[in-house]
Amino acid sequence: MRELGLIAMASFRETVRDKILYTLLFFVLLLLAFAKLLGEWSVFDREKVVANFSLGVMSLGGLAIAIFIGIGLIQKEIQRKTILTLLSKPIHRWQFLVGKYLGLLMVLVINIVVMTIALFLVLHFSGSPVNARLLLASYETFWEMAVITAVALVFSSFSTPVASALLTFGVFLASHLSGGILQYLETMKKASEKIPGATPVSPVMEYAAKTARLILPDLEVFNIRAAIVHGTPLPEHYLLWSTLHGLGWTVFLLTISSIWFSRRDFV
Amino acid sequence: MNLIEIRDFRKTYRLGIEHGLKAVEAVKSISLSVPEGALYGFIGPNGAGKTTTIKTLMGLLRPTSGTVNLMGGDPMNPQTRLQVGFQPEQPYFYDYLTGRELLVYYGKLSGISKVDLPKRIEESCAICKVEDSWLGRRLRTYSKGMSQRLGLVQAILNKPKLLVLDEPMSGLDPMGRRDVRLAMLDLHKQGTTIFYSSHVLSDVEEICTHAAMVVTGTLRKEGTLDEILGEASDPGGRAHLEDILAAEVAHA
Repeated sequence: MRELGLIAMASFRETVRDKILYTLLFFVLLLLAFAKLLGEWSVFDREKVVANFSLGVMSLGGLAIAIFIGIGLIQKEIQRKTILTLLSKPIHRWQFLVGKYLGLLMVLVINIVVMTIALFLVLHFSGSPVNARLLLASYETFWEMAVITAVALVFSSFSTPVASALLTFGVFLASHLSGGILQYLETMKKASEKIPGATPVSPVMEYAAKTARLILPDLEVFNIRAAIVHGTPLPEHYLLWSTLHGLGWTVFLLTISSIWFSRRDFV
Repeated sequence: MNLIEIRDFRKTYRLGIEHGLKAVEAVKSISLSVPEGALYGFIGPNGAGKTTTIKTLMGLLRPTSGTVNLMGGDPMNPQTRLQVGFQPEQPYFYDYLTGRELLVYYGKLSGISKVDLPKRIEESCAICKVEDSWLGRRLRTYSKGMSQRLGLVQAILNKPKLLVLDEPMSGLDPMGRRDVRLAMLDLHKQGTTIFYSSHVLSDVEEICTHAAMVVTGTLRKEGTLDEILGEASDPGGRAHLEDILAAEVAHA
């Protein structure tokens, strides 16, 4: 545990001093400020537009940080060869990997806090009600980022930075969209059965969507933006269930990357 | 007791997809033993397999075949590395940490207590001639020579029984080389066993008790320095490592 804490703290310190973090954060805050303008341009449901757009920006901002910093965290160590000195210390390789992950998680927490404060300010200055339930959306964004950072870590433990970034983004898209695609295919299937001569649903597409749903983490679990914005209640124990979902995937992904990492050579 | 024991070590790398996953044999056959108390020079031309051997010794690479033993155990086991210090070739550190932050970080990871750490940092810096004023600076402002010296400081922080150094003098000016050489002699005198790779054969000849010579991934000579030099000497006088290495390379 001591080693994990030390690596996490050093990784946190290194990341918060890196300019790329502030560049990303600046763009996210700029987009949040844009939400205010967007609200002013909207004819209907001004508050909902502002809140929905802002929460979406938070999620994408977190994704950018997870991809750009999460992947760089391990890859930079390998490319700059700092890993050679570190792994020669009496530590396990999994401690290095998990410690790095925890360090980045600390950075993500701070970013989400900053983005949430910015969101509250945007809502306040847009004249929209500042609802404490928005904190739940921030909480779920944290878990989404925790999982996507773990995905990034899996890819960066064996792949190049560019490939890792593309793969992580691919997983983000597929895991968000597979549920919707399946629903769409189901509707189309029912419709094609009822309408004679209609084009049947492609079995390949259905199989691909089902496989993606099965093997990828379901990031839509963490998307409670609609419920928060429209004020609809969440199902009972939803937060507990989504937390367990995030925790389970995080542990699983960290285990995979640790196994991979412990087998690789550092040339 | 031997602190390093390598038997029939062979290492093959597989190149990337862009090279058709071709296999390259970096080390063909190396067997050597480093006895406790030795100052051991590991020499050979570029591409001979020295760094590959050292990285395997530190658990950074896995041998393709053969056995590599460090302090009587498997190098992949962190416990085995508890009493070992390592400086890689041209060490790189974290841009945004200061020298002191890095030493505190590595020191704690090496198991040094919070109470002992400031004293250990001070002592190690004194041995390697690292000035206190450097430690407050961020590492990205360090010159190559400063990084090299700091690399040695972090390697000796835990008072290792065995010190493994990969080209510790590369990139240093003559004064820097002299300081590192003196630091190594000082540590050896204090009882540290040192295994280091080098291109500077005159240094090896001057300070080492033992040496091993590798050419194209194969061990050519091993033993005490007197044995190696004595074997090759002719009636005209004592041979030099440079001549022996040149002859071995010509035969390869």
